[in-house]
Amino acid sequence: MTQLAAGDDAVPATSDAPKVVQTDLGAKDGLTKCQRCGSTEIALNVATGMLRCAFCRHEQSSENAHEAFDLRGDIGDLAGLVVGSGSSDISESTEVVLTFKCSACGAEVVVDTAHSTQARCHWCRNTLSVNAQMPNGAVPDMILPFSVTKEEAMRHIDEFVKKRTFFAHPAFKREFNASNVMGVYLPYMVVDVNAHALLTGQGEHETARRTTGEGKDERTVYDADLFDVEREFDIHIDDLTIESSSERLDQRTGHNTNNIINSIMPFDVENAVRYDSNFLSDFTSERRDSNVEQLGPAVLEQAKDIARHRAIDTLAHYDRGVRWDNEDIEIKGQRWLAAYLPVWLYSHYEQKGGGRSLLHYVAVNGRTGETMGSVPLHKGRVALGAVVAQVIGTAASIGLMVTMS
Amino acid sequence: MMLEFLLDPASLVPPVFTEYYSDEDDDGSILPLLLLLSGPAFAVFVYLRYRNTDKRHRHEVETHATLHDVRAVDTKVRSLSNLSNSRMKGANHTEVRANRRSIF
Ligand SMILES: [Zn+2]
Ligand SMILES: [Zn+2]
Repeated sequence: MTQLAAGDDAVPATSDAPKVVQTDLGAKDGLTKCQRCGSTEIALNVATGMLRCAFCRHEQSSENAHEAFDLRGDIGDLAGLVVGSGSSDISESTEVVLTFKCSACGAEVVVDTAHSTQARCHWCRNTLSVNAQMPNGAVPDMILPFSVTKEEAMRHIDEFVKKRTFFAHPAFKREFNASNVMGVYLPYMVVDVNAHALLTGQGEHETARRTTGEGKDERTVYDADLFDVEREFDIHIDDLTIESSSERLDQRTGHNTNNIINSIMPFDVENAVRYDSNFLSDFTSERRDSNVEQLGPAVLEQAKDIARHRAIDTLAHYDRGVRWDNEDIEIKGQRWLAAYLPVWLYSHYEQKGGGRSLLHYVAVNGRTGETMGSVPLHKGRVALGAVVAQVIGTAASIGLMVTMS
Repeated sequence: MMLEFLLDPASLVPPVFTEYYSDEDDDGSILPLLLLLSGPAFAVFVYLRYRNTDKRHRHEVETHATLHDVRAVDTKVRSLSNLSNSRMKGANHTEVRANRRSIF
């Protein structure tokens, strides 16, 4: 069921005012109790993807997010900017650390939404959840539950690291223990784009190649036909996914290893479900801190890359390549949803010389099991290996030059 | 240490190294020269295998997208002959620009 924000009528109907789809209707903060026994011990059963009560084992399924928000519609029909209410702009004044009154015992319970949207009451041990959205980026529109178990993730990490031990830093090898892996829900924006593209430029098609000259002057030359090339099309981009935390967006490999987490995309975001904080028990989360407006340019740039690469299929004739001189991409409609996506993270903190340090990750996609990592190097050993390779290479080079002359 | 420079891969890949692979047809005469780069090449290989700084989400091909109502115009301008390159000069149809990570 589509529900537009109640405040919509108050906003003047300008074309660039975003249309907000309310995604937390009926969401309640506080104690969320098992429908059957009333316990608050509810957590994800990774095997089934459903929420399970720890006491009576009752399982409840969650509604697919795209269906719940009626966002299955054709991307070609998208016009203007549509955002889920969980993607709305973050207001600096909204607290990140929230205080609730436990409705079971009356005590005050603190929820630090930077790391989770749940906390346990210290007095009565009940779990309190934050499910209603507030403008601090902590409650997204949807969540994609882990389907890769911790044991599977550990196996992937073990395998990955085992292949990279000889040149690994001794401290990394000494401390390595895959069971320290943590399940983290990281914040992303998932964007559907309806765009119109017009690419103009020139392309070349090879017509002949032959060898000219003799001896030392022998070389290959080519003949080609030069064409003016134009491609115009509509493009429907489905679930473009981008990090929505400024820390994770920073992927300068000299400073961090966030490119590792970036590389384990894509996720099957079409299977994300309506947000429920109970998915976060046993896991942690990171809060979104970037807004649609800030992420817009990066999404446009990615959309251009996607359009350019989809156009390659139409350029088979130009075996020597195409040079686009103009690329006009007009975004006609776009739809943004905030999502928590599941990542298993193994971290290693490398202390480098000069007070510098680097946090290395081995990351496992919590849905597909795709694994990538950064392993710190034993520099002395790599240098030694390089010297050995150089000696062998130089000897082979001299040998070749002697036989050739 | 003295050999530290071997681990600064930015200084390790002279432009000539990549060019040899991309364009010219290898007739064997440059092989001895390439072998003289064995040490740096080895260091780069190990660095990328362990640190994976070259890895990223390949959004340009890993994102679902469909094209609709494609209109194509292809007009021959002229014929070119005796070109020395096997690829078109300035071809950019496979470029990726929204790329935030730097390899080294
Ligand atoms: Zn129960
Ligand atoms: Zn309580």
